[in-house]
Amino acid sequence: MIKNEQSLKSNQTTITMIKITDLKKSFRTEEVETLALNGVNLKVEEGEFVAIMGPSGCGKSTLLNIIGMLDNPTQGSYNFAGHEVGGLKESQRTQLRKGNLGFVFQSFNLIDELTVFENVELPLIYLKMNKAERREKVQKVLERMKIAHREKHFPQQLSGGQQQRVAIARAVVTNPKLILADEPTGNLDSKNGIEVMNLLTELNQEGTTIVMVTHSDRDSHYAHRVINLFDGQIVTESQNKPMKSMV
Amino acid sequence: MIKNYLKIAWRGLIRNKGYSSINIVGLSMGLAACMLIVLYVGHELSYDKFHGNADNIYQAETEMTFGKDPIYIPYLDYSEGPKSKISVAGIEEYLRYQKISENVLVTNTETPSLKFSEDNILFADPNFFEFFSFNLTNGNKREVLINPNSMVISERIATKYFADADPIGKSLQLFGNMLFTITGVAENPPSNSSIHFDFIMPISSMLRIEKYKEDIEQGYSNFTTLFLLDELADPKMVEASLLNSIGKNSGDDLQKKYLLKPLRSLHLGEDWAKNKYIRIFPLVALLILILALVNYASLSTARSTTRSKEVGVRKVMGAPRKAIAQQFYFESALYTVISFVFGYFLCLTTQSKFFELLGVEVDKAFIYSPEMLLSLLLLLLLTIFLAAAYPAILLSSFKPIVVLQGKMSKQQGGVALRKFFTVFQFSISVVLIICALVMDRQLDFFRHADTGVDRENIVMLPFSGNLGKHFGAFQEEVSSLSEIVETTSGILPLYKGHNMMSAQSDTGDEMIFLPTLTINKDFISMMGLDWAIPPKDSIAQMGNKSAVIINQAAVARLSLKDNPIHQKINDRYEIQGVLKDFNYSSLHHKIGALSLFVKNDPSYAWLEQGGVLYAKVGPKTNIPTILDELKIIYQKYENEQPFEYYFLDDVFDSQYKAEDRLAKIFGAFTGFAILIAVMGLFGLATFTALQRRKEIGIRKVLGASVENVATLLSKDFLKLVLLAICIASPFAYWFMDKWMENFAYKAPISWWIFVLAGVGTLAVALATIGFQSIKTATTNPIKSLRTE
Repeated sequence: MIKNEQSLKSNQTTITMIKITDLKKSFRTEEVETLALNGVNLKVEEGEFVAIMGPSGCGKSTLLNIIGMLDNPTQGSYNFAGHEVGGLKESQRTQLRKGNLGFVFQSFNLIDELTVFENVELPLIYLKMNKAERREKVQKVLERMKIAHREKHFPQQLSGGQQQRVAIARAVVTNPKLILADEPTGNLDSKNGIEVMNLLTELNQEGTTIVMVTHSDRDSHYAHRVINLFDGQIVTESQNKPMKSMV
Repeated sequence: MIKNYLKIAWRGLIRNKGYSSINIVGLSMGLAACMLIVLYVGHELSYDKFHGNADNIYQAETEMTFGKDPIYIPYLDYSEGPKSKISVAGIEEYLRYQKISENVLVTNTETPSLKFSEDNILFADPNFFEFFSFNLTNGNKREVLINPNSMVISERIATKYFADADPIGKSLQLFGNMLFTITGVAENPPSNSSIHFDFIMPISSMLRIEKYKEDIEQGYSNFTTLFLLDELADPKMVEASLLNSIGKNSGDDLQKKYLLKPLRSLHLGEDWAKNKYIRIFPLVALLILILALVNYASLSTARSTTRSKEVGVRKVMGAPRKAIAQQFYFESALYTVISFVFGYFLCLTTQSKFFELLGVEVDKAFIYSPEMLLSLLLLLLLTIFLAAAYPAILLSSFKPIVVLQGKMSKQQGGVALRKFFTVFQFSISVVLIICALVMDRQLDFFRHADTGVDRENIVMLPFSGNLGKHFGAFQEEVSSLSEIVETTSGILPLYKGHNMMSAQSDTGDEMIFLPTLTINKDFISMMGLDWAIPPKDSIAQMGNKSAVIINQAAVARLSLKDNPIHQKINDRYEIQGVLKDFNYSSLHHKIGALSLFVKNDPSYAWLEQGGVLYAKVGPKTNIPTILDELKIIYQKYENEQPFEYYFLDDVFDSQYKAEDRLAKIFGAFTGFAILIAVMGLFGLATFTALQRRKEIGIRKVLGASVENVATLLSKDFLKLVLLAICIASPFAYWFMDKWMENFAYKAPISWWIFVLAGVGTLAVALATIGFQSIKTATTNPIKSLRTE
């Protein structure tokens, strides 16, 4: 992690976090080739909050997966904070992802066998951080997410909103540069949804870059910029006036 | 990190109790079976290893070739041991011992009520305890057997006759009135010793006992003789020089040779790999372990579909594949260790039964010996390694975007491999079932085969020369019992041995060993033997010394004429009649040539060396009562030799003890294999049902009935079981065909055995899957469709 931090610092003269050029992604089954992304160009600056919208099947999730380094593009270039990511091996991507990226999913994806505390602690374990440091960081972030009193509970003992707060805590516990959120409010009622969006906005205001895929117009208004994807291409880009947190 | 892995594994284990217990129970049973076999095979291979000189000790054997057939005699004469040490280079030391073949009455003279019939009695050279490494708890190795009246007893005998008192200096009375003074107490020989003893007396004392003295003086004694060879000596060279130094005097046309058998080979034979059990058992152990492991792998990967999300999350959190693989490795290790502990307890609680079934005794000390514990530890490590490998590789290969977005295709869950596993498990089960059935048929065939002998209700009472002197009176008294229908006599019990005579074939160019039974005239009618060519005179008049009866096989073997009556064997014995072939030994072999000498001597002088009384008991007799009555009569004439009896059909059956054991063990293993396979199938059916919940929900919404769904779920599995039956049958047939080669008389391997095995397996499988299928089929579809 330290290594990554240093390499990121050395690149701080450029403030572009994500630079995607002519990105293509195709999926091939035996008979059909589907072009999920067809020449996407996208730049995200450090500190931005970007929402990606579009109908089902337009390629939103594919794009987010590539940005999140969970998948490789078929063609084109993806530069993350000065590192070319396209063409890296899985193990190299894992290495680059660690500590730099945080993920928030629609279905929370907490591990059922681990407690709240242990779920949040997980990324720190893979960063090989020592125990005392881990405890301190996890407690801090749990307090911040107002879920510290539940640290010994298991995910299935929590409400949906609480689970998503744990998931966000897990995403931010490493202080990532970039948070990727895939429909973070999709499984939540509106009250909990708004709470989650406020949390993300807060994190963004503290300097974390956020890229979020969403179906919800309400959620997209929290972003600085909205990108509309259709059939694998960016069709429109619109600038939002940043909203104040809603309660 | 490891703590984290174990924590999550432990929680998973607790949360999925059903899954965990199937997995652990299956694996523990497999491991227990494996451990039992490791103990058994380890014990067999460790025989006589505990002697310090084990690798340089050889037992001498004489091979005599007479005509075409060599015979082996595992003894030397009294004088041959000492002679060899003097004249053969390479022999450092010799040791002779003789085990008394009959039971002997031993009495504690101080407390005459402590009087038992004993059978582990040895006469040995005084260096016995230096030559071997049996430990003395009391007494000096070098001196205990010097004095001709001395005696060393085992610890169990010390307790039996003297309880807690110190036996040293006390006396025991044997052979009528001979007193032996106890000079040493030896630890009980370990169970992996091929030499067993409870009483050892010096060889010198044999010269004071008339019947042994005579044999020794005439040079007909049989002593087990062992040589300690120089480390550099070549046993082959020693064998050759033995022939030159002690083998010369036998001048007849016997071709004599001396063989040296390594002490370590005495138990299993020279080529131990040829021993049936030692060869089959490790294979069976491996098979059961594989079954259990396959079961484990199959269940863990089936569960992988529910674990895939976790893998995805961990990978997204930055876990490298190695870490995931490690995690699942630890998880398997946890399951394996738990199963191992259960398995070990299972093994310890069942070992005595298992060894009893095998007819072996294994000391506790051996079971807990460091060597065995180490072997079991190796088994644990091997199991962890094998159990963990496949699930770890499979689960760590999941791609996070695939599993997190629910796009997991069935192939990635290892469905094809699980199908293969199921087929594999059931194939093995079916092979075992068929083998077990065929073995059972064969044994049943043995027990009920018409061998030409009336075996029912005949009791045989062996007796020694003491009683033989009064045989007429004894027989009369037995015959007078109302329950006894008929009696006759012979020199040896049927199926327990026969004498041999050398005979020249009619063409004169071949010498053969001709088995011989010496019997009383009533034997033939009482045993229901049939004549091929009846004698011209009545049997009662045949009692002269030169008359002989032979069987049909002997006519062929000796190349006699079709009607050989009045022909002579060896120019001496005139053939009086020919019996139809009947089995006088086990059904492993074709009926061989046989000659019978019929005795008709009213004084029964021919039984003065001892013999057997055959008594036919009436059909509805109370057996314990009649045995008590026989014992009372026996004891009137004999007070030294304990009363013994055998039932003819038991003796006949006991010839198939090895097969009987194999069948029992096969039965047990078959049970194991089926149980493991069924548990695996149950687990798989559960997971498949879980995986297909959505599909089934949709089908039900579209109008599928409960039967439709249950059939749908069961069909796939039943197809696999059916395939397994098809694969297994030819293998089973082949194995059993090979096994049957051991027997000259075989039960047919009939088609219904295969049908029975197949239908049985299908029924068990159907019952296993049916429960799950019906449960899934009756679930309300709303439930399954709503959960994402």
